[in-house]
Amino acid sequence: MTPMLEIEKLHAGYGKSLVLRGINLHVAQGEAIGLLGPNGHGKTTLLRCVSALHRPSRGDIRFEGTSLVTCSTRAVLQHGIVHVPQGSRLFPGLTVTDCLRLGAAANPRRGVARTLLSEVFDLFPKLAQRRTQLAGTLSGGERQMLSIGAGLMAGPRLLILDEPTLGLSPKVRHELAAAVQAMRSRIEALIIVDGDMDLVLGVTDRFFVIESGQVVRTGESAAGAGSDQIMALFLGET
Amino acid sequence: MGSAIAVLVSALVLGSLYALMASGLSLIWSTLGVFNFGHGVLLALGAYFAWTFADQAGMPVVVASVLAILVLAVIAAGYEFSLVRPFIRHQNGAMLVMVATLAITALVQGVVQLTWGPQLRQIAPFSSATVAFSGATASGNQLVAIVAAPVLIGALYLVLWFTPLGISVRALEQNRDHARLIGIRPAAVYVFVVGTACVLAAIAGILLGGIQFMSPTMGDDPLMRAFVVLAFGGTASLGGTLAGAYIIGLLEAVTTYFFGLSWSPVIVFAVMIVVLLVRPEGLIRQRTA
Repeated sequence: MTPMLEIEKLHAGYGKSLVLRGINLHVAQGEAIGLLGPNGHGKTTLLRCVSALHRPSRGDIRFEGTSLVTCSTRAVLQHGIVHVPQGSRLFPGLTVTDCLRLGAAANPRRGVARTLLSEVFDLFPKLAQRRTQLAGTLSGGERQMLSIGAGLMAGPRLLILDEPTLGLSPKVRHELAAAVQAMRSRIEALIIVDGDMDLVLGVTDRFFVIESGQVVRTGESAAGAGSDQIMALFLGET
Repeated sequence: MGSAIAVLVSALVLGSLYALMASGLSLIWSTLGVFNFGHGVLLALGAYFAWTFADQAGMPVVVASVLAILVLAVIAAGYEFSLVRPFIRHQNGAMLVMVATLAITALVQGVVQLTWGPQLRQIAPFSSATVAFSGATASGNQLVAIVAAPVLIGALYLVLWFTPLGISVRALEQNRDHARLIGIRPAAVYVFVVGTACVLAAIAGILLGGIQFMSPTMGDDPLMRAFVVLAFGGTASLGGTLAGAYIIGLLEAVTTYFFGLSWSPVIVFAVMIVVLLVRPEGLIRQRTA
């Protein structure tokens, strides 16, 4: 498969603290990958580097051969990379519809907001019921659906989901996992980070385990499901 | 009855001027997280440019005012480009911008003094007509101020709530990182916010310059009052700002009537300290998001 996103020897940190120490990773067109590993080992920093929210200190990130390391967040978005960040409260004072329409503002395809809006409402019927409600009044699960929905409105080619089920009940997690599966046909590639290892391995083709800012293991998701060794790596017990 | 009406007119005029000042300050505060100490000199510049176009160039006051507002809009772009954009991206950006706006205040006041001189000047009235009611009178300029402020702030409310640009401003206020992730350009929003605030300050200056004599420091008092308005109304909503402005206007008009000009600011600022102690979030209840 053709590499869509290539990350090469990526180093990044905050001040003197180095978080990513030479990460190598690639995502092919049509592929979904999962990032696993204990908290605080660089998964979110890696995603923030891809979406240009954080500048790497060394290394390269290429999307279809074009380097992204000097791009602005908006330029990355215009390449079709949409990042739904961890635990975002989105825009608590805006209505559900306004949040979703804002998402469509960056979509390179003009005049598609109405169609996309109905697609998002089909995917997340709860949002349709709450379309005039303020985002800040939604439950945690609904807010997460709204964040993902706003991401989909931007017309992603590569969708990045950071901890979409963080702090949610098992029922809502199950709903979100089904939605992630359903949306795979609409996007060209997916990167997902989540604390629910079964969810990650269930919706992806390959996984990467990140520990201390490095990829320490990679493999087919189908083979990793139920593996005690992956679970131990995931929990940082090795 | 006549005195009560006179106090009410005075309260409405003051409230209108403070509302124009405070809504711009509040917009900049909630979007950039900084207090724009240069707001007072922007008010003064608006007044001096309108006076120059009207008095020196002989233009009708309305045309001179519109031209002055356009000049201030251009100045606003330069203000954002030179005093906000280079600093706000730094970790202590808010502090740097505040210091820069303090510095520009001293600088512009000096330039105004050198350019226009120390003489007291006044912009010609929009209309020489007066309205008399129960023994009290209101000048044309006072009536323009009373009508213009709520209309302009109402228009700003409509822009912020119902246009894509306004919704982008509110989104950036509420979640900067996520706003960037969905493609909102903070720099473009800042230009709009600073531009709008400058224009509102300029309008306040033009209205004030038609009611009282102008001086390079004419914006200092309204700026201080605008801070009090924000303490009263909070910074989270235009409704709160508007209500706070008229409360302060009324308080100032009433205290001036009963205790005189010297005591009025003492009482207003004493009340502000009490409000800050009792309700640090502002007197007006904010809608929680």
